[in-house]
Amino acid sequence: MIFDSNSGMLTCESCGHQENIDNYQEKDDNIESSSDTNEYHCKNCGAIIMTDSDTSATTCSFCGAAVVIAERLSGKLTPAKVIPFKISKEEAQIAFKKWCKKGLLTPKGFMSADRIKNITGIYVPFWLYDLKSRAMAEASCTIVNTYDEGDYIVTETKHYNVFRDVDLTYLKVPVDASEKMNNTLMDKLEPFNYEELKDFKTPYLAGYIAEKYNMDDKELFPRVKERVDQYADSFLRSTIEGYSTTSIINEDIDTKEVSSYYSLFPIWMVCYDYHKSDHIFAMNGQTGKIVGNPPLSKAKIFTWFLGISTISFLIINIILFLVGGEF
Amino acid sequence: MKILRQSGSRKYIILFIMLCSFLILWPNHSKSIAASTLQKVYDNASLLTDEERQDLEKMCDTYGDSNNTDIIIITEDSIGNQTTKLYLEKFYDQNIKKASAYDGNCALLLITMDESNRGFQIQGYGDNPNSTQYYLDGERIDHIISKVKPLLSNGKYYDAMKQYINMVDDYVGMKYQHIYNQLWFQLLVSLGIGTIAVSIMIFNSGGKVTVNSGTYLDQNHSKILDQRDDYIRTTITRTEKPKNNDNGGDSSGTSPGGSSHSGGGSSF
Repeated sequence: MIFDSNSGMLTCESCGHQENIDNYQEKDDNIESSSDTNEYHCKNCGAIIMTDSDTSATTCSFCGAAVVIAERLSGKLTPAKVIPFKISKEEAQIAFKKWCKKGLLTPKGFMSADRIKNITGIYVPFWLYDLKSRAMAEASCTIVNTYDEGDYIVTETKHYNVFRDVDLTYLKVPVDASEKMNNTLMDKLEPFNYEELKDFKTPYLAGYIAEKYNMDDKELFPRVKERVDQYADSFLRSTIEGYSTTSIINEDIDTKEVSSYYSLFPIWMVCYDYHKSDHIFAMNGQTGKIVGNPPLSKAKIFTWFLGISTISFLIINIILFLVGGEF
Repeated sequence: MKILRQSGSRKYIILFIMLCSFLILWPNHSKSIAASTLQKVYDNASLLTDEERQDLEKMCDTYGDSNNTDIIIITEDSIGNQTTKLYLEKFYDQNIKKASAYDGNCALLLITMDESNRGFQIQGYGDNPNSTQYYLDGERIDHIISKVKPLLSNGKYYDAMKQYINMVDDYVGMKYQHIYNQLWFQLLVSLGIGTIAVSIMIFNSGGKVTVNSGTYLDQNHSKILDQRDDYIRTTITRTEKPKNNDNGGDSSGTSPGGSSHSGGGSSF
């Protein structure tokens, strides 16, 4: 049985039987672990499954059965939450093709059918942080007023000392916990809809590849702190309103972790090597948002550049003509 | 009518000939409306001989018509207490405003021979974007002044007036060398816009970030604990307004009748 994204339930592809995952009892799954941590046997067909040290679920390349490596999902490696796949493989393929066609600068013929077949559904490990941030700032601000007084222009500057102290709570800020995955790419896939964040149950992984984290929440904390410090700074600045100029003299932001959740998020990935350079595309498997670095057709770039420049030139001259050249 | 009773084709031939003659005459009729009938040279101070005056009158007519403007020269022995500026403004209101064949476009030159106060003033009028007022701006008028003044100082009145007419003819219709009109500037700006547009396209080709500082903020558990906005002091700076230099440099303004104009003048 595999997890079907359309119904949200465990489905047998042969007989159509469906099982609700919420009621599923965790039990030992399709794996027999051996002392060699990287070599496993498929319980279904006995074939040896080679994985890298981070994979926690995959499909047997011989018989296609879903394979879950229990010891990589137990103990402190047990995920707390998961967002199940909402977009099916077929839907993802169609969406990727459309996205590439829409690209203003992508070369023609990119993303042809056979390449898209290599689309992979991966549960990527994330740490979600609940944080509290206490931020204080001192600023020197002015209100400037200019007016005429007889033969003089008067500039009146009122100076203020401004102080703000705020207490902020941030919930479930995600940070990707896999070294392999490109951080910037994963960040761009946000936001995920947390209303569909479910408690983790192994069957959700059936039919997909899953990775475990290789950095724990303490190791990743500096990354999330850097991000939330920026959010806090932004909030502080937004509370100082109504001044002509604001300059912050002193700022102190203290961000602390309240709790953290190890979660798996669904992502469709396509790796494409085009003209000898790698291009990676990722789709948020819940919302469908696509990010990636597509190849850029030099010809198209040049054409757009020329076209826009020519039109700007014409518009400039038309405006000058209408105004009669008067400035 | 007799014509209509003629047989078939003859009728049309005659009508055709009548139509042609009417068309041939008509353009002449409208042309005479466009040309200006105002007197151009008012030599009240008798600075010119009859021959010179007629010559200048013709020059003003020709050059003026080809530029769709009235070029006018006035000389006075004295204008009393009023300024040359006001004199010309009044002249415009009384003589040109209503009678202008060119929508009020005109260039005026006044030379006054007041003993203690010899001077001359030039003004340009007209309201549309391509008016004489527009083409004779302060800088250009200053240039005319610099060329005309030495001739007047040397008593070469006829030459001075010819100089004035020629320069007005040159300037009306001459595009300004604003930076915006320069080709290299326009190319630079268009290529700049092209570069920026394409850069934005490239930057966005990989997908945009759609979270901001408020996405993960829990509004219900975030608040301002303390805030102070303390007024400290006020500093005041005064700067003198730049004064219009009143040595007769830029005398643009508006006539009592409400017509705006450019202008400038000098003593000689």
